[in-house]
Amino acid sequence: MSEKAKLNVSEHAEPAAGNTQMPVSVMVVLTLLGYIGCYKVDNLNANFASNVHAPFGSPEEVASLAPSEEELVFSQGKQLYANCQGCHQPNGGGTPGTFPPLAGSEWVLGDPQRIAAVVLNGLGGEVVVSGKTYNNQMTPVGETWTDEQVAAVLTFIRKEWGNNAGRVLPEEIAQTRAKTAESGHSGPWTQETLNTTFPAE
Amino acid sequence: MSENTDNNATQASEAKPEAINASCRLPVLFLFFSAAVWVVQASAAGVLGSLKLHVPGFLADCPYLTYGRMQAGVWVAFLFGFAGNAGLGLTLWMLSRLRGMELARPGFVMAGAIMWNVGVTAAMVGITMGDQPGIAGYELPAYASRVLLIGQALIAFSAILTYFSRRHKQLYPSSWYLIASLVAFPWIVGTAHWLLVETPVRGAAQIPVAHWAVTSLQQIWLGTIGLAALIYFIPKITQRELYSRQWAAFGFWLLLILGGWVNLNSGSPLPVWSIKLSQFASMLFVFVLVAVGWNLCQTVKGVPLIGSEDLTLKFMGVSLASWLVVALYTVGNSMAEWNGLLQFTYAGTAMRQLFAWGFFAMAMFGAIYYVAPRLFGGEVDWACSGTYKWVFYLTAVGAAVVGLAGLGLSYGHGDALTNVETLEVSKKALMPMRIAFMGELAFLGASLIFLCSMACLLFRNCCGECSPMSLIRQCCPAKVEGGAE
Amino acid sequence: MNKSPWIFLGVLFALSLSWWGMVYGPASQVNNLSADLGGGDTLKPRVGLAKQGEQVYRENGCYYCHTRAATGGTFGYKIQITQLGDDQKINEEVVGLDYSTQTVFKKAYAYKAVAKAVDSLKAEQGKKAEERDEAKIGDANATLISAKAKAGAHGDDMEVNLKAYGISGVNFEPDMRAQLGLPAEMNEEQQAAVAGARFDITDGTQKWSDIESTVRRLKDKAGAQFKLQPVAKEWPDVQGGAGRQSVLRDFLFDAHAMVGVMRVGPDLSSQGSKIAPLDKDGVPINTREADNKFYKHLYDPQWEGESSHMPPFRYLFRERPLEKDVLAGPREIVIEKEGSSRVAIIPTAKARALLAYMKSLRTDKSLPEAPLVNQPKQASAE
Repeated sequence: MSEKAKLNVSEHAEPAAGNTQMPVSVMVVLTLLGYIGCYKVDNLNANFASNVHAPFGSPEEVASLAPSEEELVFSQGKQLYANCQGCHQPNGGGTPGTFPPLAGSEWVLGDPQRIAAVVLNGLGGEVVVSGKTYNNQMTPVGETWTDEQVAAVLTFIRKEWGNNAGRVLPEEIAQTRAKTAESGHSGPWTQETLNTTFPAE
Repeated sequence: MSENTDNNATQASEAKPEAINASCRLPVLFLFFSAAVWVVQASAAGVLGSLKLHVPGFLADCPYLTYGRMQAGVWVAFLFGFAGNAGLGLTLWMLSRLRGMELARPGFVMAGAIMWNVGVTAAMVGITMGDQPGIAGYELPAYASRVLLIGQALIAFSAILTYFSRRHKQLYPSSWYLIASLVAFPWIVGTAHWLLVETPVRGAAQIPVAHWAVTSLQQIWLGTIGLAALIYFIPKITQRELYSRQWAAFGFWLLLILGGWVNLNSGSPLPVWSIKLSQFASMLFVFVLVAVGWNLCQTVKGVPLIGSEDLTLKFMGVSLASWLVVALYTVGNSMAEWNGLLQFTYAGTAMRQLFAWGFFAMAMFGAIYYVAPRLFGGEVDWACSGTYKWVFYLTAVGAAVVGLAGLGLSYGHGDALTNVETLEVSKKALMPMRIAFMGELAFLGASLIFLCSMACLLFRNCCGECSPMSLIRQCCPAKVEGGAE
Repeated sequence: MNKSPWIFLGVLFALSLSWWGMVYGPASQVNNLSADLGGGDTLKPRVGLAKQGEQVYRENGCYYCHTRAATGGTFGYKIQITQLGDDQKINEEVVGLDYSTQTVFKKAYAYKAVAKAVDSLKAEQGKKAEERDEAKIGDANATLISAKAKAGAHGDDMEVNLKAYGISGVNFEPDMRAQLGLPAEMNEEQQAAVAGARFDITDGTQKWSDIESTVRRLKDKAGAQFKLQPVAKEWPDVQGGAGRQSVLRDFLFDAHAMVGVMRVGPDLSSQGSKIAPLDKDGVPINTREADNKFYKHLYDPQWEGESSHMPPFRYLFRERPLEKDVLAGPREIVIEKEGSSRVAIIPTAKARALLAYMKSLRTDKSLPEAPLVNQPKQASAE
């Protein structure tokens, strides 16, 4: 074995650590930077909200960007209208003689409680809409739909297809239910029974 | 050193270095040799993967060798194969030396080391079959991480027994770092295992959890082991005192607190608050940078590190420099403009490579060069030791190429991502990666030489008589001829 | 630092800080995120092929070269008034002098006054004769006369009239419409003009801090309805087809959230809208052509001579060579490339799953927390 291949394995001593003190200024700078950082984070953290992503900066900003409640109700109504368009058609035009139109209908644009009553309890027999006569049976949804859902679908049909009537609130649906119960009526309306409880304007 | 030993209440007497080395011999060498095998796999797969960037059709018809799977394999082989084995081996040796106690229960270590390597192998096979969990930087399938956790627990058990086997001796800073690495591993991998792979949290929550796990594995797990080696070997070989215990403690605690927060990309699909907090943590990381850098620079004041005669010290010098560069990059990430430009470019990956090879692998190579022969006791025959300097040169050059390509050329890519059309982007994206290919080649060369050197050392000293000499000749023919028995 | 157990406890504590902030905090926050988009709409998890495709994306490590993180940039705000509040004074104050002197604004309030007077007249007339308030009737009549004069004073510019009508949201009797210079019966176009009437009070360069107080006052006091629209200035990923930035909830139902590391390949967050763009009702348009283009790209990314550096994923296809004039089968896709033979390929289940996954990646629908960016910067614009 040659000398070259042998290693000098003599050991160095174990290291030791000195006791030099850290300058106080380091701690001061750390505290200062930490303070500034905390302040900045506090300013920019958007209240730790999970829905604020860059480049937006605050929950209020994001909330302002979100669609308004009215728009949301409208789009909910649009989805619910899928249950109605089989008869009233996607364009709200109805079918001559059987299913009355919703676009431009004075029933839809008039007293919200009256149209709500129709949706809640259904309607049968001959009805006159925009001067034309229709005759069929409308299915009631009052048993299964909530006030919010009825209000949403009414809001939708009152604003779609050029209709420009106001939003319907869930409270109005509740009032309609109460008024119907008070009148003692049950089952689908006819145009006459409806007119006694919810007179046309 | 004697002044640090508390004389009045020592429960067990200090063991002699030779006895400690002997107690570590089998398990630590096993870990080191496994590390050498894995590092070759990691760098070879890295080269193959890089090659695919030049020639997309290369080996493309084999699903097992597709780029995405190889990339996952590269990091698992490096992180758990090489870094885990080498780091755990060095942890055991350093802890026993720092405590002045023989390694407790080496049997546990052997069992743990075997399990660990079984785990890494299982992970590699699993990834090849398509079992990676979809987290860049933590690619362990559930079955592999279970085995790794058990393996690490067995090794850590021995390490902690050794650590507690003697009380009332002043703890050298390196031992804090090592204990932290032993505690951090099960915490980090356990979190990743349970929250991301075994019973994953909701998709959206996986993003911050994965970021924490990947960053912590790098900054805390690898960081503590590598810094422990730097803080141990630099004063030891220069035969100076570590400048300041206080500075060391300051850097240590801040590293542990900040390590998991830093480096979140400002373009991550995460709420503003996570990103701002991460930027804040990256800003405070400047204190870790200063604490570690100042402390070690003051320690070696006036003594060249990279220019030193001692090879281990050279390794440590480059390792320290790389760590500082990566730390500086981390601090830079606190600036939204800087990060906004470099995110999603090669820069982040290049910095990970610089951390892995320039810092961690350098520290390990240097430490192993120092430790491995000493484990055999007085009469060591290391025929290949002369070629070991090439491990240093190749790794250093590789790290420099990768680091420079990543930092210097990714601006073009980042700029293109925000301004130019798609075709330009792909060209500019590849530019730094193509140059980094040269670095990958250097890493492969370094790891091959490292493996050969380790093989030489083992065969010469363990089973020189029963081993086929031809193998050693193949390793390094010139040296063996000179040093033949 | 010399008491060994303290080191243990200290390390555990130090690690727990970042764990708490990056793991526990976000995870529990995300657990509370709902899939609700408002208006009865919800985010839906991936099902079927798309769900399987996510696994194909994962097992082949596609996330190493592709990100799924469209980033936002800089933008300004446009405030559009869609319906004015009742009180002209407050609205003028909030909206500002520049706008409140405009014809549309003035007319809107003139119409409002007309409508109010008509309502009040009707209410009085509906009462019994002895209960009528003559003073109110007099006021209403006076208002009607002066307001009609104001409303009609700006000529017959139908568009201005309709817009004012729209943003004021007033209903008139048909004969009243005619008197005010509005069409008695609106045709579809006119109806659309009313429904779509918008009235911009900012030009889209304002930052949130500039308009914050205006928005607050619009909401609190003016009672007007408005829409806030971000207008992109520099919004890098819009070029790549992203309609908005990626947000947390895009990953809500992912089995593996693969945000990605590097953009060696393009960002995929809006790949779905490229392969299957939405029609005007928000339904994706699937075409065989677009599907086949994707398959061809996957099979041979360089087939068009593009400078793509994606490796080919031929192992996701079954293939057979085609003679020169042989027709391909009905489900086969023909790859023809200069200098190489014709090949007919059929995507395997994995390739089809990957396509379905790609189609599920989209940023073309707005989320409440991330509205679509209004004016995407054109790639050709200098």
